[in-house]
Amino acid sequence: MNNSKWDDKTIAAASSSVIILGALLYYWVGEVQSTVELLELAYGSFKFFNNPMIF
Amino acid sequence: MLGWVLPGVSATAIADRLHKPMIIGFVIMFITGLLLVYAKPVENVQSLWFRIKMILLVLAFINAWVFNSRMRAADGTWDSARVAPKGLRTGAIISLSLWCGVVAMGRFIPYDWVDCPKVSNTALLWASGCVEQLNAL
Amino acid sequence: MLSNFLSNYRSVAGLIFVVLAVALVELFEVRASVYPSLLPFFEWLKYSSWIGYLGITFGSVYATVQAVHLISMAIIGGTVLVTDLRLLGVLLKDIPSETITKGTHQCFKYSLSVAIATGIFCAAGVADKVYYMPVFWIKMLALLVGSCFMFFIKQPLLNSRSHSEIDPWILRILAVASITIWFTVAATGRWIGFS
Repeated sequence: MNNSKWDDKTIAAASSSVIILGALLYYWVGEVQSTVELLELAYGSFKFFNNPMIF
Repeated sequence: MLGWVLPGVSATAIADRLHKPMIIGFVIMFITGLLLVYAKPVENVQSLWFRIKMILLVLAFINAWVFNSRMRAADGTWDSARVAPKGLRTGAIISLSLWCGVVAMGRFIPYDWVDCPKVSNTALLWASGCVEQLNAL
Repeated sequence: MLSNFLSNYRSVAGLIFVVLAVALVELFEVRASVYPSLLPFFEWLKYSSWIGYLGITFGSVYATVQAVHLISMAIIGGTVLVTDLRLLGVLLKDIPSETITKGTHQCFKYSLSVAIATGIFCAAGVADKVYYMPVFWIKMLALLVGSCFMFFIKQPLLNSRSHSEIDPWILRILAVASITIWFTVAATGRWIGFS
């Protein structure tokens, strides 16, 4: 029986957790970024079309 | 309480330890619920499903309060038993049913089956608070 | 030597295989070639299958199944949060984490089965719409990854020995990864409704 702390299941758990967390962080940071860009675009359009100087 | 999940763990211990996270959940639910109603106030308030959901929520709170008092009164006498006494089990089933009802009614709110313009039944119009349609009748 | 590695490090070998397979799929753009061939299946699901027919014809049935889907997801969320917050040492600290893990896993399996079954019904009703939604495919990927992570990585490790023998940082990163992936499944699922 393998008594080492870093056996098969532990290595697999650690590496898969890191991969999954990395991928999810990449995805969510990208989503937050694109949402912020969309909101900026919407706000910019709102200010533009509500400007009494533009008609 | 029903002996379905974590049967080897004292139910009073679970109830005690999960009390604070439950309160945090309630607070988040309340704040986000207010924001959702604020987004479309008239449609939500005039929705039959929303009104039923609010009634179920009040009943769930009352049940939780009664359930907690009964659990504290019976504290220690049944902890080692696999299932709780009948009264507490009934409270647990009622609680589960009420919260499932809250989720289901929340899911039904966006559907327009019994929206004010689509309904002609006076009882339904009154229950939904469709003031304009009721006045027109 | 390879057979020795494969027999002693099955989980790691499996993980390496999956990572390589994903890398090859991306490299050879297999997704782009497989995607169009799935359209007939999605159209069949909505217009020809009985679950699609039920979903389109009876809106109340669709809404009820969706409500059941939500309730099962709430139960999944509950079991995942209780287990993972215990592994992080936040909740139920006086109850052994082995007891919590074993006790909640059965509930998790049942609710996941119900969620998948009701999810298929819900997807069938709007199959032609979800086929074109990137967020739907992300949810399916997250669900697959989350389920495989739970059944092939997390549970085998947690059931193999006492949790005090496992490095606490491994338990923490396991818990955080689990919470994040199931949050992603829930959030993208809600997002489908907004798309």
